[in-house]
Amino acid sequence: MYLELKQLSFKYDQTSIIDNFDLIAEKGSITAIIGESGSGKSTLLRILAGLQNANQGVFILDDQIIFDSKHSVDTHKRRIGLVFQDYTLFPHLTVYQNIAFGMRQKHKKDRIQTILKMVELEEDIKKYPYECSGGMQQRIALARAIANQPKLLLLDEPFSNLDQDLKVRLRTQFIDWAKQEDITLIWVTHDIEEAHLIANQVIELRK
Amino acid sequence: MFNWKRFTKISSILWILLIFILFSETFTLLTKPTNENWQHSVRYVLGDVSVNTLIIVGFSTFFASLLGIFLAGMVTLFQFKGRKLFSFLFYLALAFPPYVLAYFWTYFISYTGTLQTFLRSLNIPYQATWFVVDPKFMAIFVYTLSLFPYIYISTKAIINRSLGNYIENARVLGYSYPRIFLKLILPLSLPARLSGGLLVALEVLSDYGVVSYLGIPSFSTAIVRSWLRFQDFDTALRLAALLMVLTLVLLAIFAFIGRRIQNLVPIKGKPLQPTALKPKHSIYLVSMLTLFLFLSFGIPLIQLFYWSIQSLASIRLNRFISSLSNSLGLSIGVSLIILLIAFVLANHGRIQKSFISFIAGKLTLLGYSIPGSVIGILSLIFFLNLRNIIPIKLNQSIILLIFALIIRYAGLAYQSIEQGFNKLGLRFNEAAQVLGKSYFNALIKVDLVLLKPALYSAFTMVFLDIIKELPLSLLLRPFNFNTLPPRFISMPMMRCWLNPPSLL
Repeated sequence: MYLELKQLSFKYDQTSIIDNFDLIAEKGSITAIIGESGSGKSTLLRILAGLQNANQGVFILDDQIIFDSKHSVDTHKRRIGLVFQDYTLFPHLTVYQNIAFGMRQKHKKDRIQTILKMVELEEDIKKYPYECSGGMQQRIALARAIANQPKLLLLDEPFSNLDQDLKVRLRTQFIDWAKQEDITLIWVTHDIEEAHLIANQVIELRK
Repeated sequence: MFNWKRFTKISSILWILLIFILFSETFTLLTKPTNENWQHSVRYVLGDVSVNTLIIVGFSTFFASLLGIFLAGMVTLFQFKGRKLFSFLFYLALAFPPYVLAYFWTYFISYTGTLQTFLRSLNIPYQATWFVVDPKFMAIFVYTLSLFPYIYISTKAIINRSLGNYIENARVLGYSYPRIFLKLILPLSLPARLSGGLLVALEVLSDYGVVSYLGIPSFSTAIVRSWLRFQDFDTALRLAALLMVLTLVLLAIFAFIGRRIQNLVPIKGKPLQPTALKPKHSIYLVSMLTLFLFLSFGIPLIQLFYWSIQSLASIRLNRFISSLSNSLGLSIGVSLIILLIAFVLANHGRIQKSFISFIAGKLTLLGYSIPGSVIGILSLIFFLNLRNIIPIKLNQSIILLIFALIIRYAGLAYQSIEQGFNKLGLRFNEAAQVLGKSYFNALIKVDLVLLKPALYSAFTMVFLDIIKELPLSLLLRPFNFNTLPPRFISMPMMRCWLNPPSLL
């Protein structure tokens, strides 16, 4: 199995947020995580990305142990992307620089051109985030996340700040891009309909 | 491999140990027997010194608070011609060292000063006794004029950023502006006024120049006199310990009040849209603010320029340039060192919220709260003790002064950078980490760039404070090393010695 998460647990101030959580997923699949506020959805993503440490559990991705009881791979070495709810675009960098930020590979320019074409931002490369609309900012955030071809991409309610029409259009486009790139997705959403529409499997987290 | 997180942790621990060793000298002293000079001080001096200090600190803070909030209210509530210029000019009062203003105003109203000379030249009858001012009143006046910006800045920020919707609601409910000022702005700006007021109180408590020039017995003058004139280090240190206790009590009082009023801070405020004034009211307000600026800032500045031009020929240029370059070199160099230390400490607190980071932060801020004369004495003792381990006379070198300045002003830079980190949060750094950058790489490529305003602000504040700093420069400067403030305070008749910040 491409992704395996076993008995993941996390406590905050003696309160159990995630308790013995298991997950398996195939490469290129989409897993939707739903649940009410405070059920630990965003915490789960932060643990997988390495921004927080679990109290217990094993995480294996593409035959590599990302963390277990003895060791943990640093965030920046995991090749796991995360799209934040508020995009978190770097305000001091242009569209081009934001997308290129994490890239180190050869033929970087060609790759960026491909991504820019895919997300339809070729004309806007010199703009700064504050000059871009909400939809554009969302596309920049998604482009930045997939530019480096992550092994796993985590999305934390990526379209929650957009209006319905734009949300549906971007979501459809993005899933096409992800399939083109063969990226495995874990998608946190509070929209049950959206979850069942896009995902291969839907998991509900409860408090 | 270099581990930034470990480096900041070790640095914080070393900093804690250093500050702790430095301040612990105060308490070991209390176990030693007292001398005659100290007993004399307790019987005849301590009472006056304590009362004078409390009066000056209390009234200066009160009046600076009134002035600061009034001016902040005027430039935030109303739209008028020149509003942005006035808003900026009020900051400049901080550039005037209080002792420069004390010298100026004392001269200005004296018998041979500009005012009385002018009245006599026009044959306007007056009584000379009208211009005899109690030194304590003069001190309070000078501190109010030079330190009100601390309260002005913090109050202006909170009114501008957070009180907009409250003020608009009040107007819709029929409140006039005076009522809005009394019922809304005064109470809701209390947290901001408290933090500004604390800075004013600490600055007054640690100041030496004004009280020394005006001949007011205070803790600062008593410490310096014991040390420099009577060579009685023991008494100086005991007075310093008392002053430190007084400062800690002041901090505790402000912290207690701060905790009681913390819920007054507006949670979801809105920026304020100032109201355009009618032309007639606009003229009144602009005239009043111009008059205030002229009296408080314009007249001293014009007089200083006049004096400098008058006495250009008699300035020993080489000594002036030497003092000036020492001042600038010391201020810039120490400010950069402080910025680096504060950045490392604030960063540790940001990434590891632990007991160590908490204590490191509090001790750093404590250094800024303690008067310069106290820091000077403690630093000297530290270096004298250090000679037992390292047989080099560091206590007679510039390193002692640099060390004391770092301890004194690191808290100022730390506060600014910590606030910058708090505003920034961790999200940009985390976004960079998930894109393949290590924490340190992300810190340099992302956080440092976004932190520039906080870093510039920290550097500017520390630089301005160091360049006009007096007690430490006076007490700890090595032989034949002069900066401008000690030069100025030792030559009251030589009006040609100008302090660059007061002109620039």
